[in-house]
Parts: sequence; C-alpha cells; structure tokens
Amino acid sequence: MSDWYLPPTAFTPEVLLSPCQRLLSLKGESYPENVLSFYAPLLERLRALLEEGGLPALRVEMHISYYNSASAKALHRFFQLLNRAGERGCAVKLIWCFDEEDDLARDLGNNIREDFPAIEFEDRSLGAA
Amino acid sequence: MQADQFKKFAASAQDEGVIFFHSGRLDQEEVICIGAVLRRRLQEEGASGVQSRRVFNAFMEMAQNVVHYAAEEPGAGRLGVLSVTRTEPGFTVMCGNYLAWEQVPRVRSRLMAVQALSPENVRLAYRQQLARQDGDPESKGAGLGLLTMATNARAPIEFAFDPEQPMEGGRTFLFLKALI
Repeated sequence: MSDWYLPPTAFTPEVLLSPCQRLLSLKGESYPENVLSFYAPLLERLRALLEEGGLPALRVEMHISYYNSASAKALHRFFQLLNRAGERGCAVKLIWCFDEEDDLARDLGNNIREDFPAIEFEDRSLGAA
Repeated sequence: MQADQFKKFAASAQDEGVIFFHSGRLDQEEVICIGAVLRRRLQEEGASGVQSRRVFNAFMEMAQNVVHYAAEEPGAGRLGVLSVTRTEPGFTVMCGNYLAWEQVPRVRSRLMAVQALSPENVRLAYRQQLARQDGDPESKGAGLGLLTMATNARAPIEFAFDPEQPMEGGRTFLFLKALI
C-alpha cells in the first residue's frame, strides 16, 4: 500500500498514512462540514492496513489544535481501531500533542490513556503558539 | 439606515461590548471565515489563550448547529444570528436561529438535561457520549455539540424558545447563551 497524504486546509488536518514508515500523522484543525466523508476513507485504509495487512507496528502522531464535536467522535473511532490492533499484537504507539493551554485536549488524552490500554500512550504539551 | 441611526446602532453595540456580530445566511465557508475573524478579534481584545479557545469552541459549535439544524428559509438557506460580547470577567457567546416547531420537545429536553449537570458531570457525560456507538439518529454530532458548549462555559447554557408557540411556517426562534 502506498502513502496516503492530504495537505492541510483551514478546516481539515494534514494527514499522512505511510505503511513503509509505519506512521500515521494528523496535524492541524478539524471541522469539516461532513466529518464522516472526510475521515471514512482514511479509517478504511487504516483498518485494511492493520487487519488485512498485518502491520506489526504503528506510530501515530496527533496534534489537532482545534476539533469540533463531530471530529472528536471520528477521532474516537481511530482510537478504537488502534486499540483493537494493539490487542491483536500490533505495537501501537500514540503521541498525543496538545497546546499547553488546551486543558480539554489534555483531558481527552488522559481519557484515551485509560480507555484504550492496548495503545502505548505518550502525551506532549507544546508551548503556547 | 441613516447616519444618525447607524450612529445609535454602533453606540448601542459598543455599550453592550459587542466584539463580533453576524446576522444572516450561514454556511460552512462563512463559518470558516468568521472563525478566523473571531480569533483575531479575541486576540485584539486581549483574551487569554484559554478564554480565546473556549469562546472559539462554544462559538463554532453554535455556528455549526445553525449550519446543520436551523430550519431552512426558502431561497435564503439557513439563517443565524451570532454574537460575542465582552462581559467581565469574560465573554458571552449567543446564537439564535429558526427551528422547526416539531423539533422543540426534543431540543428542549436535551437542553434541560445538560443544564442540570454539574461541571464534573458535563465532562463525564461528554466522555460517555463520545464512547457511544449509537446516539440520536437526527443528531449529526451525536449530542456532543451541546456538551462541548457546556464544557467550555463557566455557567450552565441558557436557552429560550421565542415565541413559545409555532409561528407562521411552523417554527420558532431558538436562543442559546454561553458565558465564558
């Protein structure tokens, strides 16, 4: 499977899914009008890679500086997928980055850590922009 | 509008501490532009990083509510009134839009349920709602939008339906108010 890359827009994050680098990266803002149609193809690709491709390890880097409520729901689906892969033996590491002052993103990170134990979790607080 | 009327309008906006006001059609593209302007205005107003983020979060959920749920005006699309005012010690975000009368019971019961939650329970409900697979089939954001507003506000979200009976065309006007 080749790399999947989407450049950032004002309302969607930069996306890179690279099977050969074993990397998924999401960076930027997330409030597309139709969240499902934006994230569904990426979720499907990731699912195929993890479940059919049998990827042994994946590093996930996320820094979503703003996400609307519908995007939060979509991100949750990523974590479910990643956790399932972790349970099957894939070494999934999530680097959860958030802006220092964004206590809601920090909280969300803590919830991810608790709710998805098969994901190795690391959070990083980034200095104010 | 005559110059003297405009002067009164502007003076009244200043008295109310209005830093942003929009009335009219609202779609995704406008929401993006408005969001960018609002961020700049908040910075100019000297809002702290946390305040700015919370105002933006609540505002965007309200704006997106209009884009997704407001009753459509024939030929005009979805209309919304949005304002951000400086109200010491913080800001107030308000939104108004037409709503089909048959939606009122559903929207009212959800607003009342969220209003009754303590801040800790708002965060807990947000977390539970996020994990739920189902959710309200009529809700595109799975009920999270309102909880997101509540999470960002420093007091329960206020609301009103005006009038409390269907207007012509079977609709009413919904107001939401979040203190940040």
